[in-house]
Amino acid sequence: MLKNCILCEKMKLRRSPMWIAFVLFPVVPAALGTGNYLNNLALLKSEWFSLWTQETLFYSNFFFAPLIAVYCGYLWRIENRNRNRHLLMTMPVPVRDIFLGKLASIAKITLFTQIWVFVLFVLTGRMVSLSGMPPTVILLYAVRGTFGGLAVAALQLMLSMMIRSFATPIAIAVFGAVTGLLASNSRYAVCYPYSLMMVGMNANRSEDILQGNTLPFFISCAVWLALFCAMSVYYLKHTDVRA
Amino acid sequence: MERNYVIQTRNLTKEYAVKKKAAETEAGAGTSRVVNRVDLAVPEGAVYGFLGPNGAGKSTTMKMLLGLIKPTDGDITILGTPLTSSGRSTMHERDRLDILRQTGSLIESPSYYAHLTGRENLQILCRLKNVPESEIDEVLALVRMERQQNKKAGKYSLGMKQRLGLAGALLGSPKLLLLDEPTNGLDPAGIQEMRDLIRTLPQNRHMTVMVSSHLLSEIDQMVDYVGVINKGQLIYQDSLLRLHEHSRKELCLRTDNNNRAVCVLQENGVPVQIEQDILSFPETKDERTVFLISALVREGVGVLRLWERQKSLEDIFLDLTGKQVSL
Amino acid sequence: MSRLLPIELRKIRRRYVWLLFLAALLVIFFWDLWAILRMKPESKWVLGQEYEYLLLDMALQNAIFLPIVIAAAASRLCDIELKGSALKMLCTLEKRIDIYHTKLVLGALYLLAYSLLQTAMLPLLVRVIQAHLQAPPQKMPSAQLALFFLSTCTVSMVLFIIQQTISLFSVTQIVPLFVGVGGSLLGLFSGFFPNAPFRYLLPQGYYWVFCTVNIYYIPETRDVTYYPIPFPTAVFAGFCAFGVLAYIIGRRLFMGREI
Repeated sequence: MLKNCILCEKMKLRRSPMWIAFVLFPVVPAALGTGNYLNNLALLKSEWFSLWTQETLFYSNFFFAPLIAVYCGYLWRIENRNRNRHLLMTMPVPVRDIFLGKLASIAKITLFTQIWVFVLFVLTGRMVSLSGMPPTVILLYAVRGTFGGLAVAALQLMLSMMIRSFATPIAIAVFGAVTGLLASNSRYAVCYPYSLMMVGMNANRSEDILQGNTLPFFISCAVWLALFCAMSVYYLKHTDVRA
Repeated sequence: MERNYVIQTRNLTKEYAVKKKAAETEAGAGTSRVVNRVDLAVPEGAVYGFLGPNGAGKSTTMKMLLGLIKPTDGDITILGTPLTSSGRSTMHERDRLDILRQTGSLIESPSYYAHLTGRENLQILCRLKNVPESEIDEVLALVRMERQQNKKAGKYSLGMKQRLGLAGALLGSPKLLLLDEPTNGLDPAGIQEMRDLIRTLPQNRHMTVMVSSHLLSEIDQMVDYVGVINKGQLIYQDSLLRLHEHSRKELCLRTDNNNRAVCVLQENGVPVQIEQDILSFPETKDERTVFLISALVREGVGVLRLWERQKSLEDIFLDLTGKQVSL
Repeated sequence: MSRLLPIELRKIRRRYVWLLFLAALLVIFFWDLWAILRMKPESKWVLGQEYEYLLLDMALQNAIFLPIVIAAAASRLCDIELKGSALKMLCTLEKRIDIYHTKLVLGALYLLAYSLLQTAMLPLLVRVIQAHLQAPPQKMPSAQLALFFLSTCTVSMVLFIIQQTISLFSVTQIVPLFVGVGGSLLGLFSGFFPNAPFRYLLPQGYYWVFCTVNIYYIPETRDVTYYPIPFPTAVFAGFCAFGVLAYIIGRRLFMGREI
């Protein structure tokens, strides 16, 4: 049934030009990051690594969480309008699959955005005549960032489901992103969901923030992801459905 | 004759917590009982009319039957499967899905994805219900909206949305159909069509239908069984035939001097009502009728006509609920 | 208006729009407090320029938070009409222009309160710095604070006008919130390119443009000096004219909308 749920989520997104935002928005940090890189060549000497920090700093700090929050908000908003929650919850589909179907949709867009950010990174790198291809470890950063992003996505999906308001969870995401930035400088960075993306992307320093010690990071991502999913399914199962 | 019940509830109760201020006005502080110890019994193959004024608890009851909201107390058994029982705090996911697989529903106003066409809406439902898409044409024909299927649902009139909702409920030929005020927003011709359709469902498609309404006249023409709910309590439940039989007859009288006649009848302790020159009072025993008529004649009142009248359903309803319900 | 505003206030009961602004204020407050308490006693660079440090900091924070907060607030204020299709009822009860204006006035009140509280926060945080670093008190630069208040109000109000217009048209509220998120991002970026004409292109960038402090960073010694820059009066006048234009266009669009 999960497969059908995922297919349905895809059908529901027909005629919603959400993807345009996900194509356009990453271009901005890429372009500005490149500009910043060129302006500070005297300071930034680690080539691909320096460019990576310039391009991903703001993307993963201030930008990813609110963007994915808008997407999550939209997925629940179409259910909140016109009493579609009634419809959805009277379908012979396990509650778990309803939530996971939406999460799969979010995971897909997260993955595509990450790939797109990486493609832009490579393109701009070639444009500023960095040699060869970026080191594979940067690709690993992007993969780590995707997992961190998933935890944030699950959190936002849960918030949008419970709060039933479109704007509020997005505002929460903005505050989360800022507090995440502050937390990412502390020792507890891997414990705070909004920091995970930043830490995973290794967005604000040239040396690896995790120093090869990626296991706690992946455990934290997995724990948060599982926790948010479990809370969401519990909520859907045990509270009265309001249309 | 022994009948199987498709829906059975025992002591079904739903309470909501209310804020202090509101609670002070009611007896039970802290909670308000929206559905109060309802024992529903919907026989297989019947069209069951669920009647009650707005806010009586119809939608809440039907939502509990679908597992959308959780009862505070009581048991629900649908199609032989227990959905909830008072021993268990929550329903079993497997039982819930079992029931939902065999149930179609239309609760409150219809649900639809406004940015998708009618057909696309139904395609989503087919996937979720695991029903082949070939059924779409069939249900679209049943509700007569083949021609509008490729228009966006958001642009439909309320009546069309209602039809789309019904089409969605019919997908997968469920054994049980729960329809909450399905004629809302339909024009008179549409209401008639909907009624005709619902009436044929038990025979042609072997469905049991539970349909709610606040309009008695609407239900009168399509249901076999009636449950009447008011202020959360089920105040009547039986066949429509019995409801008509149960209704007390009254005697009507036309005289040449109504004022005098009223005086005479009231002196004899008869609760008489006068409406458009016609006096009416509850049916009495024959001897007492004879006595009353002779009393009238003795007092010089000329009796022109005397006849027996069946109470209309509206009147019965009024008696049961104590308030005017038809809007 | 005196009749309509209480009605509007009643309509937004339980929408907690003020909470958005309060949350922004609190986050800014604690962010600055956290930064201040992390200052080491030898952070001498900040001494004597506590106000300048905070003014620049808050311009940055406003550029990050306010575009999205304003988008969310405008969305919540306009959404109530679209959700229950109340707009068509409302348009038969009130003059259409009044609907537009009432919401603007309400937004302006929120923004006034926000700017006032934020400006009041400045001297308070300066005291904290001085207490933390045991520094002598500094004279309060009243003119700069007044200009900070004025520019925060003005830029925010123009953003609010734009967001309200978009929100009143968007059934899904997707577009206005994307504009808000994008605006926050671009407003932030524009601050990092002080000499690029880019910052003048977007209204979000003007939190920076009207900041009366600039920063000079010496990479060798890692020292930071702040220096005052004159308030760009002509640009401010131009920006106000842009705001009026945005208002006129927004009003015309709303008046011409079919409901």
